[in-house]
Amino acid sequence: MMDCKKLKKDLVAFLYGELRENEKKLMKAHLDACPDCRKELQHLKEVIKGADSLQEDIEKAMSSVDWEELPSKITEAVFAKEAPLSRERWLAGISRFLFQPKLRPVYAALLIGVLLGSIITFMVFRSPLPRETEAGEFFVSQDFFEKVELEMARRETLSYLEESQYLLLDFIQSPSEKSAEFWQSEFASQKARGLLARKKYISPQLDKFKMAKAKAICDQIEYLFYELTQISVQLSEEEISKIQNMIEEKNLLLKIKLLKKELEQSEV
Amino acid sequence: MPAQNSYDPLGSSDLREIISTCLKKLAEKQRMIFVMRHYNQLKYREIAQILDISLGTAKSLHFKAVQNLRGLMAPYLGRQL
Repeated sequence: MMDCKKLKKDLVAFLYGELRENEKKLMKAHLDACPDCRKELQHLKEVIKGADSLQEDIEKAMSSVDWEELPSKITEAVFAKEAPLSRERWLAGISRFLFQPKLRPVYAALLIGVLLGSIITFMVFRSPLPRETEAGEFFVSQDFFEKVELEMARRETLSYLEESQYLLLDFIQSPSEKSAEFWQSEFASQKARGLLARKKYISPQLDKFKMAKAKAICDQIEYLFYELTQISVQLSEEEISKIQNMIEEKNLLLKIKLLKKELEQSEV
Repeated sequence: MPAQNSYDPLGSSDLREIISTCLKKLAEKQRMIFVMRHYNQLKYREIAQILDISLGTAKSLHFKAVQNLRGLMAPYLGRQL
């Protein structure tokens, strides 16, 4: 029959009620007249009904997942396996890195069997649902993704603060006459530029989660690194000494230390 | 969506195993879309939006997933599906 090839492609959509009214009418009329397509429809129904047999397992697996704990487990796995995390990938969004194979052990540990592992991979991978979708029993809520993002932002900021702290310590502890040399060294300049780049990716997250105190301190660090990487060549020993004193006067290292403590306790 | 378990030519645990094995063999995107449509009951429109693909692609991938599942299941069930 002429329409068969074209309509067969719509049979699955028809079974799932995804055809428009006019398409549905056409399909029904065709099915009434075409025994081959009716047979095809019956086979597809059997496949779909067979798939229903997993529903109960999925419900059990989903109810066994601790969604409160999962964001920190995921973040832990990411940071443990690949630290520091690529800035580009982090920027590309939480969903993209969650899809990385390195997270499979986490999913595997949480779910029953590889199939259910793939289902949960999807759950985590997927973007927030369109607004009109009602949250069903198996949907991962927007809150969940926000928790993962918040946890990532917290860990990322902690890592940024820690590396900044070490670099600043090296700076203020070095004698003034060696400081310019220090900033011109490949290690320090690369580190500072790397931290400046990271800050650009952290900032939107800090804004999003209203981590104002963390943002303010990270901004100060950023400004300092910017100044040091841009003008260190021209700085006199006296000016460098002033910067070192300024870091000490503003208690920047102490602020970093306190902020790190707060972040570690998730108090920001 | 069909949700009744009237189709049970084998034991239900055997069938679960067959489905599970066959789903694993599907291409990643097809499996994902099948899971999204069948188990999460998302509409093609929503799947397309979430995965940033066209509606037609979502529909087509779902069709391919079901067709491939059918092909994969047939040898286990010992008959044509």
